[in-house]
Amino acid sequence: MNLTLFKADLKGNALLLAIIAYAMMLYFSVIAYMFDPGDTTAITSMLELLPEGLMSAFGFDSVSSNLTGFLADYYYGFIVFIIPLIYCIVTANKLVAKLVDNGSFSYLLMAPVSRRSVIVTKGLFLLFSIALLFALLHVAGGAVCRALFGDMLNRRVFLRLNLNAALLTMLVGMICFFYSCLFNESRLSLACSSGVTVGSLLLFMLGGASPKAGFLKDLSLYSLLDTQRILEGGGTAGLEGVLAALILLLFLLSVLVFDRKNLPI
Amino acid sequence: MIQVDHVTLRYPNGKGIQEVSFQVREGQVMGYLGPNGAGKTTTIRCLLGFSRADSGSCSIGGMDCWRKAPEIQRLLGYLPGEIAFLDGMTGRQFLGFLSRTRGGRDGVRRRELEERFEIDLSGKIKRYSKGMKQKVGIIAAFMHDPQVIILDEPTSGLDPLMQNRFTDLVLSEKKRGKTILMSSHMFEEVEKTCDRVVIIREGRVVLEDSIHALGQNQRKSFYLRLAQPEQAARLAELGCEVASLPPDRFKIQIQQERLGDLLGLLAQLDVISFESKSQSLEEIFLHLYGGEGPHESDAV
Repeated sequence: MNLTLFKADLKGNALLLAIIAYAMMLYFSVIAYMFDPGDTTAITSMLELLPEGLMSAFGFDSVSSNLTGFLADYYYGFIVFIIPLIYCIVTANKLVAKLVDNGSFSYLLMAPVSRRSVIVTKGLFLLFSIALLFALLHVAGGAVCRALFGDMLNRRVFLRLNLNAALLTMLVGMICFFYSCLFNESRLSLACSSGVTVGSLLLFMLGGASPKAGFLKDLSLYSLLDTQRILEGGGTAGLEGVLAALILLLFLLSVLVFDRKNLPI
Repeated sequence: MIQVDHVTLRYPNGKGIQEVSFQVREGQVMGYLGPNGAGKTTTIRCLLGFSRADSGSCSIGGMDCWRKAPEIQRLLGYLPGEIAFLDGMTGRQFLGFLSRTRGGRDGVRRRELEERFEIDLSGKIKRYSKGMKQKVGIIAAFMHDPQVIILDEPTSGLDPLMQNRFTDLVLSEKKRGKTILMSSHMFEEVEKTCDRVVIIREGRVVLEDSIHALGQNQRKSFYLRLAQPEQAARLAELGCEVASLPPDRFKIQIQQERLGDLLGLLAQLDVISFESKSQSLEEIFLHLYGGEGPHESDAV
C-alpha cells in the first residue's frame, strides 16, 4: 500500500467518481419519488402499457406497497448495477492496463516500491471507491427517503441492500481489475471485462424475461444479490461471505499475475 | 556497476535478445547502439526489472534486477524511450508526484534542471510538444541525483541547442562519478559523451569497444558540388571513395586521419558546396565488416 499513489489515483478519478455518484443518486431519487404510499395503481397502470416481458426483464414483476420493498424491486432489482458497472469497467482499465499500454506505468515503478505494492494499492483504491459510492448512496438515499416519506424506510433492510449491492459491485470491479492486470493492451482488457460483466447482465435480463429462461438468471453474477431474502429479513445464506471470498480470490489472482508478468514499458 | 550476463529474452513474435553480455563500470558512460528493433529497449526492460530474462541475469550495483527492483530504484534514474506520463497532471505536479513516491526532496536540483532546459512546467503535460515531454523525462531521470542513470534514446525530440545542453549535463554528471548507460541509434549522439560503446544488432551484441578506437577507424562522408565535375578525378587520386550523383554532386568518403589532405585539395578546387553527412550505423557496420554489411531490412 502506497499512500502517495493512492492519493494520486483518488485525484485522477475524482471527477468520474463524482459523476457516477451523482447519476446513482439521481436514479435513486427518481425511483423513490415514483413511490406513492397511498396508491400504487398509478404506477401499475403505467407498467401495463409496456410489454410484460420487457418489464420482467428489468425485474419489475410486482408493485410493492411499502417503500423498502418498492426500492428493492425497482432500484435494487436491476438499475443499481448499471451505472457502477460503467465505473468498474472504465476505472479498472484506467488504473492498470491503460498505463501499461501507453508506458506510463514505468513512472510508478521508478520509486523504491515493489510492483506488488503498486498493484495492491491500485486494487484497494478500486474497492475503496466502490465502497465510497455505496456509502454515499446509503447516506444520501436515506436522506431523500426521509424527506419524502418520513420514517417509512426500513433502515436495517436498506443497509443490507446497499451492503450486498456494494459487495456485488466490488466483485464486478475485481473481474475488470483482473483483466486489466492480465492484459498489456487497453483494448483487450476493455473487451474482456465488458464482455464478461455486460454479458452477465444480459443473461440476468434474459433470465428475467421469461420463466422458461429462468435458468439463465442463475448463471448470471447478478443473481448473487438476493433482494427477496434480504426483504424477508432472513439470512442470505452466507451470500456476503461468498462474495467477499470471490473478491479476495480475484484480487490475489490479479496481484499474482501482475507481479510475475513481463511489462512492455 | 551495471552487469548484463548472457541475457536471453524471446518475445512470441521471435524478436528479442540473445546471449547479450556487457558491463558498465562505475563512473563509466556507455553507449548502447543499434538500429531500431535491435533489442536495446528489451535489454533496458530487463535492467529495470520490468521483464524477466528467459535465461542469464543482470544486476545493478550487485543487486539482481528482477528480484531487487525496488532497492535498485533508490540509486537509479531512468528515461523511457517512449515517453508517456500520467494523465491530467501539469509538468510540475508530475515531477512533484514522482519526488514524493521516491520519498525525497529534490526541489533545488529540479529547479536547476528546469532552468538548464528552459522549460515552463505549469501547463498540462498532455498538451506538451514532443521535445517538452522529453525534457520532463530527462528532469525526472536526473532530479533525485541517482548514482546510475539509464537513458533510452535521450535526445529524440530535442532541438540542437537542447541536445547540446543535454550533452553538457551528461558530461557534468560523468565528472561527478555517475555511471550512465545510454541507448541510441545514432553514432554521433553517443560520440561526445561516451567512453565505450556496445553495438547490438538483431538481438546480439556484435561489437564492444572504446569510442576512441571506433572513431579512429571511422571514415567521414561528405557531399560535395563541383563547378567542374571532371575535377572529381583528383579526389579519387587522393584516396577518397567517390560516388557520383549527377549532374555535379558527389558523395565522398575518407579515412579520418586524411581529412587534412582532403581540405588542402578542396582549397584548390572549384567547390560550390560542401557538407558533412552524419554517419549512420549502417555505414559503420559496412566499414567494420569490410563491406559485408547487415541486411537491407534493418537499415537505419
